[in-house]
Amino acid sequence: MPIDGAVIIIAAVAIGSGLAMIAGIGPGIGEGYAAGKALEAIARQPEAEGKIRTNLILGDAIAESTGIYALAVALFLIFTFALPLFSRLLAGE
Amino acid sequence: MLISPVLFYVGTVPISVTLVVSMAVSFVLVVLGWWLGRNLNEIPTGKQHVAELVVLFFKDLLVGMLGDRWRGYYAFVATIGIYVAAANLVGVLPGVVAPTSDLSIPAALAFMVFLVAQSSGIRAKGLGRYLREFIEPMPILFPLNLIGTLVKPVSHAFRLFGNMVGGVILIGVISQIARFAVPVPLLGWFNLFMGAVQAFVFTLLAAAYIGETMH
Repeated sequence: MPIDGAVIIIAAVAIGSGLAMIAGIGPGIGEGYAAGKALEAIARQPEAEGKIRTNLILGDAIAESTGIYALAVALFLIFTFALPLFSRLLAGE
Repeated sequence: MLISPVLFYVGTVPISVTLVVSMAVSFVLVVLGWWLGRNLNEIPTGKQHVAELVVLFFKDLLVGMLGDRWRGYYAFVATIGIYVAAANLVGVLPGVVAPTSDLSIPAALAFMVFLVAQSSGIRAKGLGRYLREFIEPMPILFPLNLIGTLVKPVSHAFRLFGNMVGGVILIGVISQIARFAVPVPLLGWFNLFMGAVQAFVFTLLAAAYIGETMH
């Protein structure tokens, strides 16, 4: 199989989408930290658990959007550049 | 893969799988709502408990966010909440893909929320003060405020879309490898738990964005 433009593009997309997902570290740390603080808050004031849980979920959702942007970048890279070339490669050209 | 296959054309308008599933979900919810709303009585019986549970859940959520103005926006936010929850949960059925895993549905919902939020902000504060808020505290910050306002609907839509499509793709890949038992817990996790959490978050943020512009 000759190393032509298609193979280079697919390799670049694979590396690119892998690198894009490094952004998953941010929400992981942030949400873990937030959950820890929420647990402490619930331990300190158990009757406020409802409010704390709602705000924890809201905070997690907003923190997660950076991870979702990374996922969106990775998916769009794969599905716009690499997918059309896969079919050609699988056909053995 | 991300673009759902087109089933048929009505005139020139392509009707995709997502649209059909979304219409089915809406139809089922309308019938369910009608059935639950029939002959309510003071002391709630079986089905009325469930209906009141859902209604009160959204009421508490909205009162928390919008304060005394919650009644005007209740129908809008509760409908979005119930629809998104149902759309996410329907993805667990075999062969059915959650309509929210197609960018068009979350984007449409987020755009609706954006329009309602901005229009309620203008109605509550008057056009003058609403526009002046964009150059608070210094006029130099205008682009930042503008981008801040415009990013909200985008992140609102992408959060729901990203979570759901991530689940669909992961399950698609895993079910190629391990055919039978393995995808079931994954389906459960992504469509049931994450679906419910994302529906809750989508509704909460919708109420928050509407409430935010009015204060």
